Amino acid sequence: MTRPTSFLAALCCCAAWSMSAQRAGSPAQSSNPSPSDWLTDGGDNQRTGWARDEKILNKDNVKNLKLTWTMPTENQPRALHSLMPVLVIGQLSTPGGRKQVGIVNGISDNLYAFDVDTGKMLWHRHWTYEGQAQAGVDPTHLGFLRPGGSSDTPVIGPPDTQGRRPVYFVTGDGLLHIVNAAVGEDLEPPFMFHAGKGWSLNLVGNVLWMANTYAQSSLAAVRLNDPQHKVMNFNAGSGGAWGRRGAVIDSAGTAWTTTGDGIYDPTSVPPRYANSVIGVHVVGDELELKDYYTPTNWQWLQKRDLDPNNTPTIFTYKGRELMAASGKECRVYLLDPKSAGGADHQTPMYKTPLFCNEEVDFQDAGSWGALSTWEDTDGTRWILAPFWGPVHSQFKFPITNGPVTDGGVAAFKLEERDGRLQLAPVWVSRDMKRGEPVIIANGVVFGYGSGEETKQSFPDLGLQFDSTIRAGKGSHATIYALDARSGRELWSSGDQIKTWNHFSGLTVANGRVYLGTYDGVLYSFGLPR
Amino acid sequence: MPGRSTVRAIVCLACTLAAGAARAQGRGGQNWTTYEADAQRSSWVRTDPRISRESVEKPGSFQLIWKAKLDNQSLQLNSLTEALLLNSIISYKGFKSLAFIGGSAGNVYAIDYDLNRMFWTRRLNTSTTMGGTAQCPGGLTAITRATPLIQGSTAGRGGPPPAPPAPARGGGGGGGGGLQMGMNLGSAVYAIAGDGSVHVLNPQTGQDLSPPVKMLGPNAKVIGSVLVDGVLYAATADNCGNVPSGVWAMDLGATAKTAVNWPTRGGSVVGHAAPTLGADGTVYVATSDGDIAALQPRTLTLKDSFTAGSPFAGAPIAFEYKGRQMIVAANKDGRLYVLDGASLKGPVLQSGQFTAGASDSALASWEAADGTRWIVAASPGPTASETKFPATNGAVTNGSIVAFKLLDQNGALAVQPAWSSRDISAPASPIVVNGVVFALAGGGPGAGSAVLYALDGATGKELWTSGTAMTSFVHSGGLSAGDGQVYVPTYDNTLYAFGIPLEH
Repeated sequence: MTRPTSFLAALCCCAAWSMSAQRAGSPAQSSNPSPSDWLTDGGDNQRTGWARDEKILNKDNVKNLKLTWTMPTENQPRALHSLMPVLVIGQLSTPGGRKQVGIVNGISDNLYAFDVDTGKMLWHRHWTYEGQAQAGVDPTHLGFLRPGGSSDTPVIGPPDTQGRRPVYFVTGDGLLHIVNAAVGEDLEPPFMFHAGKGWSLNLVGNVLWMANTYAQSSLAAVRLNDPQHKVMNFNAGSGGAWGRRGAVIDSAGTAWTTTGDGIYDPTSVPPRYANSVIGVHVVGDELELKDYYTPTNWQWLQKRDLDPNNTPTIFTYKGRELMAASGKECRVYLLDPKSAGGADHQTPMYKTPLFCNEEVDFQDAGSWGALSTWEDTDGTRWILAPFWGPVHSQFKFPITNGPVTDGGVAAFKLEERDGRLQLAPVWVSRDMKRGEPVIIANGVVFGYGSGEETKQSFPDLGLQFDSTIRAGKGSHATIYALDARSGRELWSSGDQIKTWNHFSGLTVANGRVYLGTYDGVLYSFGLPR
Repeated sequence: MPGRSTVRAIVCLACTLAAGAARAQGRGGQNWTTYEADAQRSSWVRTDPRISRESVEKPGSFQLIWKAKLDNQSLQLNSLTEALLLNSIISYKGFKSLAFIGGSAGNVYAIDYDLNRMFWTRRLNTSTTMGGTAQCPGGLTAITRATPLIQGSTAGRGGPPPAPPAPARGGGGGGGGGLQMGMNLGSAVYAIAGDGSVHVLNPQTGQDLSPPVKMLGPNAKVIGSVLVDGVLYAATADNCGNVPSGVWAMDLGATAKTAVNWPTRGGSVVGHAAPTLGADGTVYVATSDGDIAALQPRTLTLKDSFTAGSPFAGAPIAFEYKGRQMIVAANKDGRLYVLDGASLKGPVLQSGQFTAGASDSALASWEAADGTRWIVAASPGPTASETKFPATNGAVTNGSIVAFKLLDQNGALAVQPAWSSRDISAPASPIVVNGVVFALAGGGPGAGSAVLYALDGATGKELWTSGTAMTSFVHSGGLSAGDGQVYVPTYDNTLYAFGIPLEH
């Protein structure tokens, strides 16, 4: 094992590296026949969900997808959580030779590496710590709001001078582990980052970001090359960040997140920015609020628990950087990261009418998880919003794909009208049992219905936090491949996935589609050889 | 169907959950859980997120937000009850803000009051024949929710904000505590149907949470009910259905659910919202015999009584004033009677005659920010010449709202006239929201439609009026308010919501 100091030095050499840079990277990358990477949730720092480098799956062959393997991890579910989205290293030198390696974490402080070709586990790390288990408490009964454990999707850093890929992963005790992706051993001693309900990590240069729920900190960041490992925090004074892809980073290095339920009062001490989209940046060795957007109807959102709660996405349109955000209320906001809410912080560039959640229901409706975006070959900028529940009766999509009752995917495109940008609805997918964040690859939108029972209150039982009640009512996840221009269904996994999942996510890389489920099984779909 | 022990257990939970549920689920302050707001029948909404003197006075601010025509059948002049409020429940369809309204034909409605959407309707299966006489119309006349004995001083949205950090909930949604099954019971609606049975209705669905329990004979005229500490109290009037006028109590948590009764001396219990509970749980009631009776909680054993020389004209209100439990009721002699709840037979303070003859005079009371204790009364007919109000707001010929201050003058209590309102015909029970007095000209058959007025609580000055917005009169129901809105149920089975809109 290499000494931590040498690894740190190697890392510093790569300080300028970021996933943005990689994505924006050289044309040589796109012509490189080698397998591509999927190193962070959503694929990049901007959380676009756009698999730009996918070279195998396309609209013509996606109908041939088959279940290629399943990998039981035996991860112990906590509350409703189990496996998080898969990350992929296209080529990694391992003790068994160069392989395309998948990394996936389980909520019970597990980290797994597997050979994507075979579905065979390469290594498994499990961490233990005081307070991890509660005596006499079956972790499946834990409340779904506070599952504990390791809810953050890891992030994979650039190779060091020896070609080793670090996997950054935070366990439920708040320790940041930096693990060699090839063998699972520590590259550095772990250090305290942040304990909370953390979401997907985002690595930009040397700064590692984590969005949190229930941690007295909405965003936490640490400089990996800081010998003191000073953790920088910003607390929006809300119910916490809930976007599954964590923080999203703009070109200026500002980290954005939605802030969840609570009060908006910028005059209070400390100020509170709930029901908002906030941008935070590093100033010195602190995090400071840079800008924010709060909807004018935030009191209504707070009253009905309809907060913006998913990870925004950032993209460029005609040379201008823009951001789209959404949440349980079920609108999409178009924001300018340079002035997110205008002078009063409450004026977006554009907001759609309600496209779902006519019931005004915080649990079975609204947009959850994360938005995604991609740019078509003709320059059309698409925004994709997963949603739960039916389409709003007053909202019309030009293209529909059958009645929607349980959820789906809504597609908008960016248009300029009368000199102003707006989001025009284009299509809505077929019905999906709780539409989840999508991945776009080669004109195909990969979405899935989690099959989860999302109800938290029941007519006969009232509000229930025992997760087994919901778990017992789940069905099964179903993956769909949709034509990205029409939403037409091209392929479905049907009944092949045996159970559901909660707050997880799809991964598409190098001809394979991955999804983990509550029972700890990882599914891989691919094209027949 | 839950077993008996289960029923007992969950009903016992109701009292403890009544306040807890509101707090845990609550995204606002005080709920209007029973007729006249609380067990003391104060008709006082202490704080409000949007209603204030300034906001109501602002042109175009306060307005008719919605009206809903309900499919209830009026019985004689009875139609809808006062609307009760549940400002936040985490239901199986999400967070809802509900108004519960009883309908004379055995209906109970739950309306999402922010959206004017019917959440559920329940038609109670009553076997009795309804529609008797004007005095005894039968049918459903009373609903209540579990009500804390004393309304907490917890500020609502209009009060000081809670301290950070953030609430327990977040974008993932979910409630703030482990109320679980008790949540339904803590927010349940207790309806006394026309057949005299008590239905405990699931606030999420309107279905019975436990088997109905017989409390009264059929066709009683229930003029109020309230559930405190698991005991359902109700008052009956006019011996309707041969159910004697008096007060009834039933411990819904007891294994054997037996109603106990305190009968009047032959007269009727008076008022629209009886009985009234003091801070120690003592049950107070006024009668047409001229009595104010103090009854033991649960057992309704007579503790104390006061007899005036003439009938009382409305139900008493109760409040604490300088450490004393005060009981105030309007008498048909046109005066307010102010009694010390600890000793009804003690010195009784009377106001001057403020109305020539009140057949029906309802009260409300609030404490202003400066500590002043205010009492407002509906005053039918012209103001009596005996009482001079320092502030008047025009000639009064048909009726008005009059306001008094209760003063401690060197240890002696005094009722000091403060203001009289503009002319208001057939004034119904006033209510007070964050310092604004809402008064209703009730109208009547051949006497026009109801008109709602907002008055400055300090001066009686008219701040706003509904004008011709309502097209029917008010008889059986009364005003209620909370969460930025004021509700008026009219004879034609329409519920009106006035207020200051919340941007959706």
